[in-house]
Amino acid sequence: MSRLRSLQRIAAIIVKEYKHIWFDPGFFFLAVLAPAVLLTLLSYVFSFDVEQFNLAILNQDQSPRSFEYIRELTASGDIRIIELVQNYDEVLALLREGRVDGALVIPPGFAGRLEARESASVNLVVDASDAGTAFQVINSIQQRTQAYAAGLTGMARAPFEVRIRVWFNPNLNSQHSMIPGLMALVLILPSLAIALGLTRERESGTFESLATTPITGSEYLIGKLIVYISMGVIGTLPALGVAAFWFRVPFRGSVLLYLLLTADYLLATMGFCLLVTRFIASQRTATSIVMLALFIPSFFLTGLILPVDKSSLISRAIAFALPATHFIVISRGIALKALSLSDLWYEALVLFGMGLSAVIVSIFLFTKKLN
Amino acid sequence: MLNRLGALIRKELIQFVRDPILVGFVLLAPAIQITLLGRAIGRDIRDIPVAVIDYDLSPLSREIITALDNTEELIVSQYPANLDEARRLIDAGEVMAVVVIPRGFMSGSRSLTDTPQIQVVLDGTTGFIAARALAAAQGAIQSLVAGAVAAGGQTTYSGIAVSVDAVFNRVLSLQPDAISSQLALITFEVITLVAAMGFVRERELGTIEMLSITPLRRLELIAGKALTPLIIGIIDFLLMFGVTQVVFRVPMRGSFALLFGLTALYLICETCYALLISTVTRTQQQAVTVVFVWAMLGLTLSGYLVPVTNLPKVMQWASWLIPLRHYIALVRGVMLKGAGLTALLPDMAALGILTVGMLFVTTRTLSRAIE
Repeated sequence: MSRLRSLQRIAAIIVKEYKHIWFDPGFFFLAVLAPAVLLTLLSYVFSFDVEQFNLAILNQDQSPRSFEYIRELTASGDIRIIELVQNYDEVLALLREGRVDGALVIPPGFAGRLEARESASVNLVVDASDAGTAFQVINSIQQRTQAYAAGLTGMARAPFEVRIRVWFNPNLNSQHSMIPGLMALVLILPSLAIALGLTRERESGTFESLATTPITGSEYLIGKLIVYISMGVIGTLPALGVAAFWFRVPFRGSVLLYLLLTADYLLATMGFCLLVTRFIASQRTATSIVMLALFIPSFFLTGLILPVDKSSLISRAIAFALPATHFIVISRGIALKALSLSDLWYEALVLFGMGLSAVIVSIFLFTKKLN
Repeated sequence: MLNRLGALIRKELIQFVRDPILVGFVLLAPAIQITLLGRAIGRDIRDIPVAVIDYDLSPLSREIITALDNTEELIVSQYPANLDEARRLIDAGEVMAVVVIPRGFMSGSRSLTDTPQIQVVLDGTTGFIAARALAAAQGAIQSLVAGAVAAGGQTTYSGIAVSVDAVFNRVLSLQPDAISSQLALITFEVITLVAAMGFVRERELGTIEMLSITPLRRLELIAGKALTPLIIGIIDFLLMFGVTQVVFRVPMRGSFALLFGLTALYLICETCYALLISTVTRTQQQAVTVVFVWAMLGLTLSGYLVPVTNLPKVMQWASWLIPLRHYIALVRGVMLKGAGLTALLPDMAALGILTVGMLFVTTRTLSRAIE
């Protein structure tokens, strides 16, 4: 009998919360639509493929060969020659002003050495203050130069060649690997919504009226969790839609499994939010904590962009503690590699354990008593 | 006037200090974060685990394995027997690339008619890491090819060598660049989070009416609300700057006084934007949502990840309105390039103009918010 009552009370909380979210456009946006919007923005930010870069040329050779070489470099249009300069000082000035990403110096005697079938060399000066772009400039110039040199007559045949195959993402499109990973980041927003929802009731005093009802602390928290997790799962759908139809990221696994494990992930992050909001009383603090402890570190410490530093115990511990680490593996695994639950049970279990223990501790600590 | 302002500032500081969790988070999290993130993102990609399937088992294949292992980027960690086993290793995330050396590779490479192929299989889900693994593997194998050709006595082999000269960051490490822009980004986050709650919090709690009946002028109100975030911003900046110098030894080629002055200018400018957010929103949760979107715009348009020159033209123009863009350019300019006042003038002037403009808009919207 009392168990039935309890379920009724949880249902009452769920109805109240649903109404709350549906009729507050701000909350609805944050819990349901924001992940898709944020995913769109972030996907543009985190595409590392530099499409075009600017180059200055210092051609000290001025031979027909050198002009041919320059033409070959710029043939595909992704290298743009901004300026032809006369000396090194001009090169440095251009780099300092940031007008070019690099400068190519063709030394005198370039053509002569090539005619004599000797090795020629060119010098590439890159602005390495942006190392990511610098790498791409170097790679691209080196590849072009190799291709040009290979096309020259009189070259020896290479003894063997390297063939590349890329699994799951044939063009090494950075968006295809980033977007499934970014899902973990944008799904922190529904958790931010629950943290704000919980602290708002304390801050604005509506929590006091709840305290006078027969609802117990655990019923209150479970009701809230059910609502926000389901809202988060609903919010996953538009985000997946953006990924699949706007960015054309392949989705090879099971959508149902994806949504199930999304709920698992939301349980872990929302459990964390339940726990911290137990100790804080203002929305300002709740936002700061979710931003600084959950959102920002998840970008850099979870293997999203760079691999987790396996040699350092601290970074391994932090990566393990951040739920996003596990969900990134799940999300990439299901979307790109079509993995099933039998491949992902470890990550799923870790998230579930985190969520469950956080919820249990919060229920244990939760008091309806007013300070 | 100073009296009135002093009273408001005192109130703000008392309210802030009363929330010890917030104080701790806002003052310490940035320094901790830049330490952790700096280690994670600044670390050059090293020891990417790769698997080798060696069907040839010849001296040449062993030479290739050693060459791969000797690169900084790669570490040969597994020797699966076949591609199925390799696939399982990739699925489990234990290796990120597989190098396959075919049977008869060495004899083929010695023959004049054959060109045997080495196959490199990459896990495309890791995007950026895969690209680096590929570049490293190609580099290692290429130099072996050159060595093999030289040893074969084929003197006709000539190519064009590209020698790279990385200016501003000799060793081409990601660290200085990543950490200096991280410093700018965290400063941005903290000050925006704190300042954006300024007026909207009073509004939600209903205390803004009280402020409106005090003799405080609008500009005084803004100054009073701006001071707490400014102090926090400056403390955070100093702590983080200390970390960049002591922990990471990021070069500081310019003058510290100049950087400090520019930071103060930037903080004032960013605070004006945040206060604008807090005057146009109605609830704190709305303000948080706007801050999120604003932060994403900042990430996209500031050159934090993608250089501004690589953005579409329209976005390049729009980015002028983003203070973070100018600040990142200034921080990189002073710290990494040792730029002086004249080189920094355009970005400095932009910040000045934006500050005055935003101050004007904010005073306008503030009077509407109060009434």
